[in-house]
Amino acid sequence: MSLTIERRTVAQRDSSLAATYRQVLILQEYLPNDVDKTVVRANKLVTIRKSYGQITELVVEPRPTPSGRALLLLDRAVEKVRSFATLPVDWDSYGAPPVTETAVQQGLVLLRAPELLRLLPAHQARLAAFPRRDGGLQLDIDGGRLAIEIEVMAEGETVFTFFDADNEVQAEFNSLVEAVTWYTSSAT
Amino acid sequence: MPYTITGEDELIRRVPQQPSFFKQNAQGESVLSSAAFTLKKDEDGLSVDIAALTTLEQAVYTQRTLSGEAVTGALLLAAVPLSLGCTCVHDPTAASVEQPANEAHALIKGNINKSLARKLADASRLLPPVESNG
Repeated sequence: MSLTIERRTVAQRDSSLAATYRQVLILQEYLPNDVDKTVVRANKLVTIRKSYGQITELVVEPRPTPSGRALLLLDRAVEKVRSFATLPVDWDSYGAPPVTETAVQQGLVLLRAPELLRLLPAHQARLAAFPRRDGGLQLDIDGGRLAIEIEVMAEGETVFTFFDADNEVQAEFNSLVEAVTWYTSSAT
Repeated sequence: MPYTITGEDELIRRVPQQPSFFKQNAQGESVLSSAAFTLKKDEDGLSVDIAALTTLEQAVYTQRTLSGEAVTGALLLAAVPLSLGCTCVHDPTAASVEQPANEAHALIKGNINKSLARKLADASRLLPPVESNG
């Protein structure tokens, strides 16, 4: 993973500190072991920022790279999926049940899976999360060779479906590994 | 008296504003996710209102979820589901504890699978969202 690491003062970064902190937390889960020390240092400095003003902050910025954009998309999706846990009955005005805790937890597990990054297009990736009307949730991945819908059912079962430009189903899998294997191999 | 839905009829599907069912396409425009056109397990058709028998105000803008959230909506030409092998059936509903009677209610019936849900979403025109006023 390519990372841009730089030093700035906290004063220069005031408005984006919260976002930076979230990014660091997310990055922590995806970074390979050999750059782990960087994250530890970054975390320490983010904690120190409460002193505000003169402290130098170590900023990990994924934004400039495609993989960094993917991490930001995942970050947003994680927040949205978490919010589904509080949806009331009839959230869609057609009597939909709440999203189950099982679906939310499974969705979060999926979003933290490093393999999921391989389904996100390197450039112009789009990822959006939606509740499903049957108590599950859905992740839409667009911008790549094929559109992808990932359904997490109310009971936690996961289905990966690939669509062509005419919205016809090209393939369907029940495991992330199988989906990634098929998607990457079908590109050649 | 039952209303016969033709391909020229416009159908109104309510869509929640929160959580949003919109995503961006490659041009940066808001489009609907297919999640707005999937069925619940106990449904035998996709609920819509026939535009000719109601108003946007009545079908969408005065509607609320049980918890009071405002909704928005999408317009779909009946020709789309009809051309995809679905039937569109006038299905007026009687008043219940939860909802008033709805003379304009209809169902899109058929094999509403993932592919079809995406096609319906793609063919829909979004109504502008409204401010929630309780």
